[in-house]
Amino acid sequence: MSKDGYILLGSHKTPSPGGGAHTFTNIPAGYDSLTIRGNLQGNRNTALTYIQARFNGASAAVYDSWLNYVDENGSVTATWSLADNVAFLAATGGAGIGVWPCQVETTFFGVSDPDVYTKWVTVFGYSGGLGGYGAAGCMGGVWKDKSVVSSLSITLNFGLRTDNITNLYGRRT
Amino acid sequence: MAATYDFLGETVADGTSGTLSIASIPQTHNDLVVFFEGWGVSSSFGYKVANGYLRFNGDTGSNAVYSSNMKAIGFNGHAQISSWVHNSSYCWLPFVPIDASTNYYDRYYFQLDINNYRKLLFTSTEKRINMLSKFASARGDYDNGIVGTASYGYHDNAAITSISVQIQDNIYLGNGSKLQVYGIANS
Repeated sequence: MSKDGYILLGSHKTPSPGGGAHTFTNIPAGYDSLTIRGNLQGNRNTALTYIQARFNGASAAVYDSWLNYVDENGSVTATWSLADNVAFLAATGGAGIGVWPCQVETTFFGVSDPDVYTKWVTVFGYSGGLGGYGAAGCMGGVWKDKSVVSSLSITLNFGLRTDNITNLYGRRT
Repeated sequence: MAATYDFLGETVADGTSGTLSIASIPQTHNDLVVFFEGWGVSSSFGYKVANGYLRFNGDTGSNAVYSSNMKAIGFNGHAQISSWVHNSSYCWLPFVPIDASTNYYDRYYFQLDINNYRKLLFTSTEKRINMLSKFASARGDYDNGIVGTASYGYHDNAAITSISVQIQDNIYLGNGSKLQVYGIANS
């Protein structure tokens, strides 16, 4: 394993017929940050849904998220979800818009430091094709728990679509 | 074609200075990825957050070579922030947390992607650089935090050989704050 730089820690691809989550376990400690890069879309016929995450399987209501994006109607959303039991990473389309997964890059900071809370920021977008059912924006937040992150689960309401891909990278010096 | 991220350099604050710099960035890669994490220490500043200033090549911007465009959402009041600073002497890093404690536990996190930092892809005489960042900051009391994204411009023709982050005057960067640079090479 490389001593520095970005290190690929794992990959997931959703098998047919879709559903479920992408869960990375046994993430080694010591990384300055973790990054996921993925192509993710909902598995149910909705115009827009949310890509979410949990750390260490924790479902306590200690996730604060801020959501800021322009949606398929050109409307700007700026909202928040405080004391939730899940982190909001990005918006994405449902299966009804065709195969237009959201391109997502999320960086998680402070994951190995037991003195700070884990925070994240995502920059994301998807076109939605000629129908224009796309969206783009950024989201971020804080997990009010100082535990070192050892597992990360990427979820969607109603599950991930077939062939969705997530890669997890660790960055260290 | 494989792409690799290589660690190129790091500097860590000792709590006695308001600036972190990395000089002599190798001219060996295609792109750079810059990380800054840290906070400011001051017992007299009077605000919970301060501005950070990102600069290149020791260029303090007397000729107004930097621009910043920002879209973010703030924790305090959950306000949208759409702002810009043009023709300025720095790239703007907003909402760096400030605390009187030298053992403050929260951080400002910042990632910046710089494509074509050696400007090898340009054929025109104007060799400007556009950059894209994302950042997250939250004080422990969730007051004056922010998450967002920003684009920056460096309106100079030189390749990037050094990077610095400075915080507002009379504030020290907390011990352990750090600036890191990675290079991306396509081979």
